[in-house]
Amino acid sequence: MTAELATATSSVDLRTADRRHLLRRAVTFPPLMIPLSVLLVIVLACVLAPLLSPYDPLAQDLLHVKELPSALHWLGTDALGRDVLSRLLFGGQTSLLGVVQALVVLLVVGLPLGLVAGYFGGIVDRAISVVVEIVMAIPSIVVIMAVLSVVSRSMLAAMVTFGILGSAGLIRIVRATTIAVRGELYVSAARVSGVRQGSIVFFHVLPRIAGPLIVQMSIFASIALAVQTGLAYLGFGIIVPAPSWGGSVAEAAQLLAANPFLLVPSGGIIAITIVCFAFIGDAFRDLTVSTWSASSGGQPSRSDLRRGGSRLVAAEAAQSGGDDGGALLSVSGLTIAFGEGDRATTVVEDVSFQLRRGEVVGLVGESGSGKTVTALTILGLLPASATIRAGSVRLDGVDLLRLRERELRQVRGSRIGLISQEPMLSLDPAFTVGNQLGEIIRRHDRGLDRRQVRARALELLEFVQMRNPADVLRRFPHELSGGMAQRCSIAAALAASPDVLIADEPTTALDVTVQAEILELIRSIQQRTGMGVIFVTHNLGVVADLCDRAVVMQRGRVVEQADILTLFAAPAEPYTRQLLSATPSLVEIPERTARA
Amino acid sequence: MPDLLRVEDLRVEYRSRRGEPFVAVQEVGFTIAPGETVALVGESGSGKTTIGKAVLGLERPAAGTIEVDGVSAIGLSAGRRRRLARDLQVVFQDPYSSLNPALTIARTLTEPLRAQGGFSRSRADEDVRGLLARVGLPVDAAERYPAHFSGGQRQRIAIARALSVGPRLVVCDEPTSALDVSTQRTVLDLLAELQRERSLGYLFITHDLAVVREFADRVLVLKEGRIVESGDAAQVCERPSHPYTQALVAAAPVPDPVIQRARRTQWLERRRGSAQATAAADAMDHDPGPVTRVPAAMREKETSCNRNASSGPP
Repeated sequence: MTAELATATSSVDLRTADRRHLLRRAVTFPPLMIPLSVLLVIVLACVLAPLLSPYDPLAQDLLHVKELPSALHWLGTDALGRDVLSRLLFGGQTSLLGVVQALVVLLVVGLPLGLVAGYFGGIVDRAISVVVEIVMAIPSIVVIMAVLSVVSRSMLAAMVTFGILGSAGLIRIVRATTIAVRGELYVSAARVSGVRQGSIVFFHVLPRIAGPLIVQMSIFASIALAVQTGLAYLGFGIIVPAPSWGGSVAEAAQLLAANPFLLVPSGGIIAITIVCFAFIGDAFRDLTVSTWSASSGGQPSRSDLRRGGSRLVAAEAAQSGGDDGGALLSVSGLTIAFGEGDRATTVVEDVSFQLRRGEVVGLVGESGSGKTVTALTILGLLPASATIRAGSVRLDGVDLLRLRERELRQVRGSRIGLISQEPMLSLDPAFTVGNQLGEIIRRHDRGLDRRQVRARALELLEFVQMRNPADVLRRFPHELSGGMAQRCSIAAALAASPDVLIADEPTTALDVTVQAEILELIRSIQQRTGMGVIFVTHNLGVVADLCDRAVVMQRGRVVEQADILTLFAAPAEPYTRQLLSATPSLVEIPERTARA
Repeated sequence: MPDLLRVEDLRVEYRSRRGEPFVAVQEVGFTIAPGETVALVGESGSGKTTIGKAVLGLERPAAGTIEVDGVSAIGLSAGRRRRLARDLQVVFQDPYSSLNPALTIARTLTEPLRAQGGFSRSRADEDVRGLLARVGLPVDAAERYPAHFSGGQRQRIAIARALSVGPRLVVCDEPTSALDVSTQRTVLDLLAELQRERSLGYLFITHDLAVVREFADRVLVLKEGRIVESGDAAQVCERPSHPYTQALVAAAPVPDPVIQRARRTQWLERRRGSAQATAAADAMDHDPGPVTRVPAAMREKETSCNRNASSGPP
């Protein structure tokens, strides 16, 4: 097929590429290797107990009872003069074997049933889910006691029962993850290619389950060990003189007053083992997830950014003169970095532009251009990992970057409003539109009674040209279409009649006909109220439609800014020309000329 | 020569909780010839993606015919579906969800080949290198995971995966909607080149009429599951005949302020009560009038804000 096109020479070893990364990383990952080594030592010591233990675990030496650690007995002796170390080593065999039994049962029962329920769905899923819910409602310790009363003294029966009962939880987790993965496009792509279902489960579903599965197993191992030792402590499942960790704790507990040290080795080995299980689970999860994700230099994702919400970091702002040439909002020399120290990356560098009253300025750029970061800085909504290195944001001459959070809160909302890309995310799903608008109205004008608040909310919805505003007030966000939700969030942004409106890609998620309506709405509101609008977008068509001026950004810097007639007719910079020529158009656009 | 893809009278229904099935697609028919790009365009809920899914066998139609190269592609057994996969592949919209984050690029690229059986490791090595070179990615990409690649690069990987079995028809479901404009341009250029090289047929699903005009040969405009207009892509974009298509064309902003200003005036006139526009207005969520008055509350605030502004910062 395409082999003839091959030009490269480096060899790719397909057989091991999948696994090599994970293994190599695992070996050099201390959070995994340390608890794993400790656990391995404990397990090996218990397995090799017949070789390693200095004494017979049952041999009594009544001349040396309740002794503290010594050269003869490293961990001392118990009430009957038996060597504590030897009893722990042999006792670990039964305790750890119990954990293994429970884990195997958990995996054998839970994994296939969870996969089947999640992958095939339908009636199989419903049947499995009903059983799971019933099992989860039963207290496991009662069932285990009942089993032990029938199959007396069988730790195997107890641990198998515990594994079966525990598998209900695993089934739910595997099922939920499988359902999520089944909906992924790469599974659809595999189905289109006719990949066998077994292969899809093995290659696509299982690796995604591995993380949660291992965490579950490690938690379950801890609980199983606790249950096993608990049963042994109570004297179930172990024939008394035989050593077990739980039994050792029980014996030590009886001598607590006389010989408190006896509790340390037995309790300690249980605690260490449980902690190891927990750490291994966490580390393995971190490892699998980090192998698949790029090493990001502490830069927040887009959604992190849009959620924002943390305090503004104090700026070492350069005091530039207060002359803003009559601008309503003036951004000058703004430089912002994410991360700390050596790993800090500058995402916005020396950005300056101005917004006059009654003007719509487009902040245009592709992803990573810093346009959203710049807009959020104006609102004081940068995430905590961001530092403002230099610059100022002046609203009517006041530097917003120097305001305290309390002062900034007054500016936000009342003087600067925000409408965002995802109107659904900016509305709280738990409250009606009327509730949410009312809350904002009351925040800015506390003296209003219920009727007045409602009247203002209605007025706002009429202002954003909502049909049936009284009906919309009673609706919840999920009962609104995308366009209606965006109108609501515009109404919310306008509640306090801001001087500056920041619109962060407000039409990107909307259909083109709805987009035209929203753009027209923003334009007419802007003309009526005379506010300044900063419109963040990647869409040059929208810029041409709505904006008076545009600021083109690339990799955190301002490439060029001009009024839009000049910018589109005669772009000065190669990057602007490249953007313009890459933007598809519905109609033929006359040749552009480079500005001299 | 038979059509590469022939769809006739397609109907797709979704079960809903209240008895009556929801008809997502009905009475849809079209053909695609080798080397041809046919675009399905429409807004959200128009059924365009559902048609793509039906062609790909991911959704079972309630009625109608889907033939790839003269052979029915509905309700195939796993084995027949695998054989069909040699001719029919897909590139999805979301470059993040369309690659398994836990698999290396090499593993992802060879998946369709493995499904075909007769997969040999020695040849796979060469194939992967060839595919990566063809879509303009470095060879060492093979050993890396999807997270190391940008959206545009991932889309190239998805294209390479589709190409791996040498298909003749590729369903492109909004392949560039999630990309930046310059990246979109390079990906479209790549698709166009591949089409010329291999005379691929594309079923190109999109919401963007501007892309349709520049990339597609023919276009079908969908509204609420039905085709409302079809024809030569440039012609439909320049002289739309159906009111809905006209509304779509009128609403799409053009990257030129002078032309766009004229278009906006036209759009406003259209909206201002022409009877024809009712069809378009249905698609919008309401029928707004012009803004006539600023709410009293806002006027009050406005003056108080101005006072604030003139008396200095708060």
